[in-house]
Amino acid sequence: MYGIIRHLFSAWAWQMAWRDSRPVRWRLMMFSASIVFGVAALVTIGSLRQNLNDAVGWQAKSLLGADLMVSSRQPYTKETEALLADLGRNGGEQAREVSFTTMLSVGNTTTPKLVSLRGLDGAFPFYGNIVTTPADAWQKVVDEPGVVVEASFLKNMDAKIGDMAKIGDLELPVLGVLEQAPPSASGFAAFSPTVLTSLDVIKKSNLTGNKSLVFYRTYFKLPNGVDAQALVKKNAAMFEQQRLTRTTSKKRSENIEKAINRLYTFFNLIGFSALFLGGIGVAGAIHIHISERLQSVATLRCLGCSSARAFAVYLIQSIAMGIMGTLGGVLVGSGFVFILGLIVKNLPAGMLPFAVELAPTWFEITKASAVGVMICISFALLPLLAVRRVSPLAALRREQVSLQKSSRDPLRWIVIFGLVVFAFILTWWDTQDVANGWKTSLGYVGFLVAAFLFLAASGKLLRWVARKLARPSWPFVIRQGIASLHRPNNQTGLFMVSIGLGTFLIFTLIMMQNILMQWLDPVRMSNKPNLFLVDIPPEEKRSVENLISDNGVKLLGNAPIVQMRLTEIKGRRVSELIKPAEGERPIPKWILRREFRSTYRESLTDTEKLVAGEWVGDTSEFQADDAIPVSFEQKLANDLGLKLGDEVTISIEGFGESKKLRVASLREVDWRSMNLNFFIVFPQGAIDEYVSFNVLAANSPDDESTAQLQQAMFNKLPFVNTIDLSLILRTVQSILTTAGKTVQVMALFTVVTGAIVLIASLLAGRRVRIRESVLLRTLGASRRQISSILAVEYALLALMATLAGSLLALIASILLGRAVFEGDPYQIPWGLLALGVAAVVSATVVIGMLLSRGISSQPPLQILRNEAAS
Amino acid sequence: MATKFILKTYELTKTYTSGDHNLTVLDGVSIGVPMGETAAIVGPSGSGKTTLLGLCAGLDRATSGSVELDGCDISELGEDDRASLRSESLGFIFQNFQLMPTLTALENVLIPGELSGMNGEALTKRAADLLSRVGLGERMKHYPNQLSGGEQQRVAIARAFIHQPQVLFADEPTGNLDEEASEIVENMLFDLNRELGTALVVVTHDLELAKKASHVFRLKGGKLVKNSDH
Repeated sequence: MYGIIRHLFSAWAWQMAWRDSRPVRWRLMMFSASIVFGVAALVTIGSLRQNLNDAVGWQAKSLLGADLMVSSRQPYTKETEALLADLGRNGGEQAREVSFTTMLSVGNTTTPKLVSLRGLDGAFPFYGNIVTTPADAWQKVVDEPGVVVEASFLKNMDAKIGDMAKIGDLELPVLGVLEQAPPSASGFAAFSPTVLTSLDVIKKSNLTGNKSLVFYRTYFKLPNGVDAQALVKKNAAMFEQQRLTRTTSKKRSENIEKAINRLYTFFNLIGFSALFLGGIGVAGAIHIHISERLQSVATLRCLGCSSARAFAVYLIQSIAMGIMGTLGGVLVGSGFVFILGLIVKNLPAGMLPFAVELAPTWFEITKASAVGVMICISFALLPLLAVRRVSPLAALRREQVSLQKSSRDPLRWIVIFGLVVFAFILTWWDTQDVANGWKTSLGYVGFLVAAFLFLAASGKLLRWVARKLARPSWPFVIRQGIASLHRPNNQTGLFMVSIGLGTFLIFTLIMMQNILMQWLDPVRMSNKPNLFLVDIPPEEKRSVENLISDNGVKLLGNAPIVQMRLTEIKGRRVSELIKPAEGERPIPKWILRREFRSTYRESLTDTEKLVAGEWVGDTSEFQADDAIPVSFEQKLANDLGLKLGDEVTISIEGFGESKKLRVASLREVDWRSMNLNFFIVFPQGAIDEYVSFNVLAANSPDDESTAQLQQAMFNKLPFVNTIDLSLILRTVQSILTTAGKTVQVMALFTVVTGAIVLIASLLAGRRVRIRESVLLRTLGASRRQISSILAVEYALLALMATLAGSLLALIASILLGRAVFEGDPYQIPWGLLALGVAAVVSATVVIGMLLSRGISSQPPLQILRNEAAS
Repeated sequence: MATKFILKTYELTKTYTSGDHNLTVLDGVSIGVPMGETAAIVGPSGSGKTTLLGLCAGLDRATSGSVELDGCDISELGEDDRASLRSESLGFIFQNFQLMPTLTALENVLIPGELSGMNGEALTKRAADLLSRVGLGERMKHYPNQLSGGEQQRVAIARAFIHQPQVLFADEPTGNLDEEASEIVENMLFDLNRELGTALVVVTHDLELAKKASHVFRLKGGKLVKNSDH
């Protein structure tokens, strides 16, 4: 090892590496391109992640508008007020907010829209600004009754500044439009237009009276030296007791960073995969190069060159390849980030939640470069190690020296082990910020290793089958083509691994995109609710149902809502469980604190399925004193440590009643379905008298029908909120389309890498094929026969490699579909896959024949002479 | 005065094992080549000529016996030390020339000198002189595939002498050449041997060539059957 390192720094080794590469520089450069797209992907994704996280970090405080936010779903109690006052004693400033969603119309438009109405203290936000047109509009709203609304909303309503906004019986003038809204704590606000008014207006009106979703928030600007996180920690018990959620600006930015990191992890793993595939291309290229240089190595060894010195010469060439490929990758990746930066710069103001400047970062460039060069060298080492075993005696012998891979070479196993560990460390390093990141990287590397082993084993199986399969009665070209698969110096193993892995990665990406696109399926969409009507008093349910059907909207479901909280779990009070004893498994506090909105019904819906126990649809078989048999969502039951038959006690909000429940069944719920899903479902007849309000789910065929229904509802039952999900669905569709396009770009990167790897694999076997073809020609084989033999060999190799890769892709996409995308991974695009298999096989045969062109048309001696000279 | 040997072998044996079958290709061969003199190793195909050459040049390890080069037992040396010895003291000429196809004639000639740590203008001048000496002064920048077989072998001769080795091993140096080219190559080899005092060990089928050597070692079936001096 020391010898190799010493020779790496000797001028002769570099000079020799340069001279030796003379006739093949273009080829080495071309193959160095196999890592270009992997490195480009890492530079792009890494830089985007860092840019976004930096932007979040710099603007952390303005993302929340304060240092600390305390939020409640109920009006503040005396104890809460005391706690807030206590927090205020740290100095600094406070501002309050009451917000909720409500139906609002402006001007002459009678069709109301659901908006997020925020009543704010004038002091908020402490960091960042509210920007309006006219500039003093927000100040006016603080001083006198009025609202400011989003410009697009006003345009949508065909209204103007000065028109009156109507919310129930309350009428307020529109004093301006929002150019930059204050930071919002509510995720839902992103999907409904924001309307700002003063806190006084909300307090004086009766708007919150019949609302089920009202948020009461207090924002703190803390003096320098007071740590918001420490304050939260110190008062944790009181916050828990008062069921208050709290967010610090730091936590907020951390949460955003977490979301960015999760996305980054996924795309980064695709980038790594492209890089590993490129590594195989490099290994193939070095294999070809070294095979052609073995005679020279033997001569050099004869002339007194040590094996370490000869090894250093070719290692330098591999390092140069790594550097060239990496430089190419850095250029492509940086160019991509620059273009994205220009696009983002030209986006309309307000399209992104925070300002971000996109530019490639030096850290990510350095990291990706180091990774690119390391991967290139590691993969190159696999064929390169054979240089050490070239005997000088080979120069004396007349026979052709061939590349001998030795599975007994300990260094070969050390390199392979090192590659696996390197891959794990790399992916683990990048998944550290994600929960269970090490498991993700272990799973990823494990699957990659399994894929390698599977493909290598498939290669062995193919060789065995080829040996047993051919029959003397078969046509000559078929027998020769099949024999090429198992003859000495065959390329079956290399092909199976390189083409198989390429196919596996590309097909996995295609199928992932397919899973993403399932969400956009119009048929699937037409049976899903896109309209929810909430806050319907039980006595008005029938009228709402009639209005829905009268306006051509399809009613999909109804859920009577009973609000409740857990008070005891398996005989232990919730207040005890919040502070678990040492060694006791803690129950997530949000579950113990939350208000559950539960329902009752006779049967299961199509977005849930029973996984344990017995579904109880009514209480006809139970006595009033019995615990009510209910169905729990299985993850919630698991978090609470509940099994079938266990008992819990609830208190029904607003009625002061307690009920004992028994876990009769467990359900798996598809929460993504945007349907009426619940954690706890009661049998009919058990809690019917405690219904607070009803929620109806409906599917509206178009925006016009939605508008008509909203208008009718506003006229007859103004307290009913109509939540139009079409905006959310459109946003989700847009996000999925963007994600799908990103996957497409990554797939394109991988296809280009795969094509280079394919060429490398084909060239790797070219010399052997030429020799065989020349021999056959000398013995009288026609050009047509030689071409047919090659075509049969390439087609068989490509078909088997592609099928093995497709099988791996199917397994990977099913695992990913279940674990990550939560789509239906069994909806396999068979047609697309078949097309993919045909494309890869055709490309292999066509490129293979193109690379072999001339072999069958030139005189044998000329070919041999040309090859000897190369 | 006692003869000083530059190369001596003692009971040199080489056995290859394949499974449980042993094949002895060289069986107890002892030879000696005096300093600056010429020797030919002759024998039919498979008699062990090339094996003996390989062992003498430190390209392979003997199963038993030893090889002494200028008094140093090379059987005791490690792989790197033997490589170092080759770069400093030995030269080679092969039947199939073994020029590096990616290097020009001049660069090919430079290699042994560079490997033994020589460099600079003096080395390049010497290489150019040697190429001129073998009649290729105008072809220095040509690549091997631009040269004929005889020309390639002349480049190989220049390469073999660049670092003034103590022993030059030639394996069928004229085996791939026509009569005319063979004669030129043979003359060059023996002329340079005389001029530079380099001992020459030639493996050949060509009995005419063997006759030009001062010592002839005849092998048959891996054994030395005749040892004659001219």
